[in-house]
Amino acid sequence: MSVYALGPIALWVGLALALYGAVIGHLGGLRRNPRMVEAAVGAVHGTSACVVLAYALLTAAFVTDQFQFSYVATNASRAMPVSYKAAAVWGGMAGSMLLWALVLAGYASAAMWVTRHRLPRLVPHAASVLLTIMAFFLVVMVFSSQPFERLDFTPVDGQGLNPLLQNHWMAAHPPSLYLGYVGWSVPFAFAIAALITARLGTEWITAMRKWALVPFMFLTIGNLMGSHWAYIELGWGGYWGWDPVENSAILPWFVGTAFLHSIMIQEKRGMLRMWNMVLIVLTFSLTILGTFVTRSGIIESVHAFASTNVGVVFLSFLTLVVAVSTALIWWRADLLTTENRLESFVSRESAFLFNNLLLLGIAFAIWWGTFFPFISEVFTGQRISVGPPFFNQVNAPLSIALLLLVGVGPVIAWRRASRYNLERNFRMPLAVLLLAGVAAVALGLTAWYAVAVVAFSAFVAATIVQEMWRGTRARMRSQGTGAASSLVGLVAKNRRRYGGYIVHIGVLFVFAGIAGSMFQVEQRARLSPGDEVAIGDYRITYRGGDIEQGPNYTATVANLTVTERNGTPYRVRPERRFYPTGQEQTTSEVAIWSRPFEDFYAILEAFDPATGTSDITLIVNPMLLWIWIGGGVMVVGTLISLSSPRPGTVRREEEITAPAAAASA
Amino acid sequence: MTGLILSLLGLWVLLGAIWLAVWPLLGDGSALRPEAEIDLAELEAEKARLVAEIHELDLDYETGKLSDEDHREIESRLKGRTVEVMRRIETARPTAGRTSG
Repeated sequence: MSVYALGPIALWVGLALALYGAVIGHLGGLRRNPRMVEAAVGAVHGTSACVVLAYALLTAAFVTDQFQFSYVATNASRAMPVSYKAAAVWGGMAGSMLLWALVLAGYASAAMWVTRHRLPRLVPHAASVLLTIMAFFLVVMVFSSQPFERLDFTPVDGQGLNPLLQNHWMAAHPPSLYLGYVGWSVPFAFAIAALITARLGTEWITAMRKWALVPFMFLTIGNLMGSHWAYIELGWGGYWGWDPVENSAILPWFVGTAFLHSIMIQEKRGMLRMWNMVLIVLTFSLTILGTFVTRSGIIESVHAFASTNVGVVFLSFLTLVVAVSTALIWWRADLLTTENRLESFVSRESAFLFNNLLLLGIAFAIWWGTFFPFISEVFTGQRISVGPPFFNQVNAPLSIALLLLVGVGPVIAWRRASRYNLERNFRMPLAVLLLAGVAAVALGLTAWYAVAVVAFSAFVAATIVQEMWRGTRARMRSQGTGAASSLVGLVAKNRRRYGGYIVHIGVLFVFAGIAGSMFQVEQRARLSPGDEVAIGDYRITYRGGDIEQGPNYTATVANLTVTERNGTPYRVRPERRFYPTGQEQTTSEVAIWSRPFEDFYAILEAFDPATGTSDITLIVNPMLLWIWIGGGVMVVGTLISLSSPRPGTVRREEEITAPAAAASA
Repeated sequence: MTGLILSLLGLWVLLGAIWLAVWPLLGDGSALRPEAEIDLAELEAEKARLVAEIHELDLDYETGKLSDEDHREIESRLKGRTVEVMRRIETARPTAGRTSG
């Protein structure tokens, strides 16, 4: 028996265990039967083991060129480097589903491991929900999109992976995005468990905060990797084209970010219980929708590489998720009623609520623009698309308003901001806002959004600095330490809070990069060897072209020398690559000279070997590097926040033990 | 030969997966956690949450985001709840100890 025969068996056994565990988990939870509960937790680990085995076998089949499998023959070829063969596992539909299941297996097992003693009443139901999600993906792989389906014959070579995907950023992008998508399954599962058990206080919210931060971080990384891939691989000079698949990947990020902020209000004030339930259900549903959009081909897109006929299956599952969640929320509506009311519109609660509304407003605008072609076709028979201008015009003002709230939220008082609080916390940041705005205009910025981004970013930075300073000063007083060690101690002791502020600093950088890239300059030229052309402060000399042979492609290369303001010349070599096997596709490999405040970007459009002439597009992208730097800072901030210890500190316990002892005496 | 070893290894993984899901229903249940111990763990977790919340509250107060009145009121409420939870822990501890011991 070939070892690969175990692949489909592993999927079948995994499916059986997932269904068994999904049933027994709910039964065990409802009957408070510890044996059943343990069996459900065991089923999670068992299903995970089956999925890991299936994934390992499929990866081995790719790496060792097992072209008797239809999926391997379609997505790999002998000439591909081993690293791309391993990445090609998720290059198509069946492998993507297996990757989803693999990531879910990791999250589900880890969640059971960490929470089974902390949330014993919720765990059995959460295990059931996670296993139901797992069962869905296993059903797709067992009945519809089978990764181990055999061909009647074994081809000599495979068709190979789409050349556009043969890029290390694209190899890393799907796993990161899936770690983001799938991670939302855990807070969703515990939210459903909280609804079933009627334990709707802060218990599940507090326990799930970190489980929400992890997918937030991976969605941030995944979206940035996808943007970076688009920037360097698609050869159009931009990083975000409002493509349906890009939009589907960013939708759960916006709603999940709203969730991460609004759970703070529930933790502190017992408010927004129902809202938080709605947000987590919406976030999870959007992850399924994102996978559906990518894999169904419902909306034409450059990303719809693996369009298949599983759209109906996905839509059915999505409908089930929304229907069951809505029914549960409806059933528990009385218990989801808020303990406290909003006391003032000038308060932290109100700022967070506006933050939520803006994040959801942006998400809705993106959703509407993305699905409008589909909606218009359903109702009018005509497919009407909205392009980047729609998304930019709607989202720019909403995003800039959101930027302002990034500054307001952390410093405004809870419940009701007094005049004293407003003066104390906003006087300095508002002065900085005004100064920055005036400086931006004086420096020649005329576009309103650019001035607003500069002024509001300065405001946010000022609030963060003020917060850090006040916290440091308080610690200096209480601990008697110096400023530097107090600051380090402050961040170390309050990693959740200050990690969040660092994420906000990253957001400022991303805003700076996006606003700067709006001032892009572009020029096209047909150049013969020795020709010179200028764009911005750059002078470009064309040194002729070459034809080079890669491992599985042939490349035409243009040799350019770029000089900025008579500085040291820098060589850039944009390429066009032709992949002769399988899909016979040409890709553009752009050349980028990245600087702190400007990217020089060159695209080779065409090269004529007979005359040596090249058609080149040259682009100058201001501030673009800051998008990637900002993303990195956001990730660092999230990691700091994630590293915060579990609730409870020795110092405070000691303080509270005394009154407790007194009270019991 | 390698293929056979790998196949056997894969089969062991599948059998192990099934065993993980089935053994709790087959065993005598002695390794399972008693209900009283679960209740105690929940109370301990609740106490830890309240303690962390008081710590956060103090930082909000120190950085000017809570008035004196609000700080006093919320802290008093949180401390009251913490004391109540700690009393329940004291009551639950002997029961949990008996059940697990």
